[in-house]
Amino acid sequence: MEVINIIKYTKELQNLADNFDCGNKVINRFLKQDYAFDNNQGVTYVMVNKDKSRIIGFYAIEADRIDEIEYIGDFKNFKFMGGAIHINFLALDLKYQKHQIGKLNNRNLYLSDYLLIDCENRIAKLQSEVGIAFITLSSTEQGYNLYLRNSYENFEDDMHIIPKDKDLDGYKMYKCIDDIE
Amino acid sequence: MDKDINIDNNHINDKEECKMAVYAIKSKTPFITNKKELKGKKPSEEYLERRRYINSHNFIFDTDEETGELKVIVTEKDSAEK
Repeated sequence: MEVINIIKYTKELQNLADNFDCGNKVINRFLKQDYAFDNNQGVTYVMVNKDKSRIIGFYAIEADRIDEIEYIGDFKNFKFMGGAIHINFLALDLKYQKHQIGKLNNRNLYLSDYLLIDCENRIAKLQSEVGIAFITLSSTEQGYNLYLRNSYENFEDDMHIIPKDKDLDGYKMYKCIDDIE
Repeated sequence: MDKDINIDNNHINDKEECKMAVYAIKSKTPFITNKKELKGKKPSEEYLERRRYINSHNFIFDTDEETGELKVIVTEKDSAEK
């Protein structure tokens, strides 16, 4: 029987948010607010324990796009390059950060890898439904190695606009959906 | 007392908060490139192995009711589940 650990976040699960602490008050508060259920803002999925009494981690995704900038005379034209899903948030409770869930070829397998790959699987399923070329995200400093390890690339190398403050916008990263098996 | 934290359409507007322990935050600026095409590099074999392993196994996450300590049970999926 398939085991479902990661489920769509609903109002009925909201009481579990009281015990969730990822170390970031804003993100903790996100789960307690109606934003988290507003499909106009994205969709949130929570990783729960076996009896669904505790939130271990969560991610939120929304539709996005990548544009190419074209210069036509003095005008800038933003040309659609491809549809994307943006990972708005991805976080684990402090208790479970850096938690190893096994080893693979002598390399540690982390809970964060599991959460990210589940997120990618969900996005990959959407590709044939809505047409998506990319996954985009803004990584925090803590998350940067997680995404590098999982074959994300720095968008800044390809960027037109370089944000002045990485602390506020994170490290922009992306992955081509076709790179997911 | 909690310091004032701004949340604007789920964007984090506080540098200190941003540095704390989460892995991804909502981007404030659009993804715009000068390039005609974005071609991803070939994914690493390590990543692909990790994907295959996670997708071919079931993971059960059990937590201790009092301490919250996490116990993970990993079993291989049967062929029908894969």
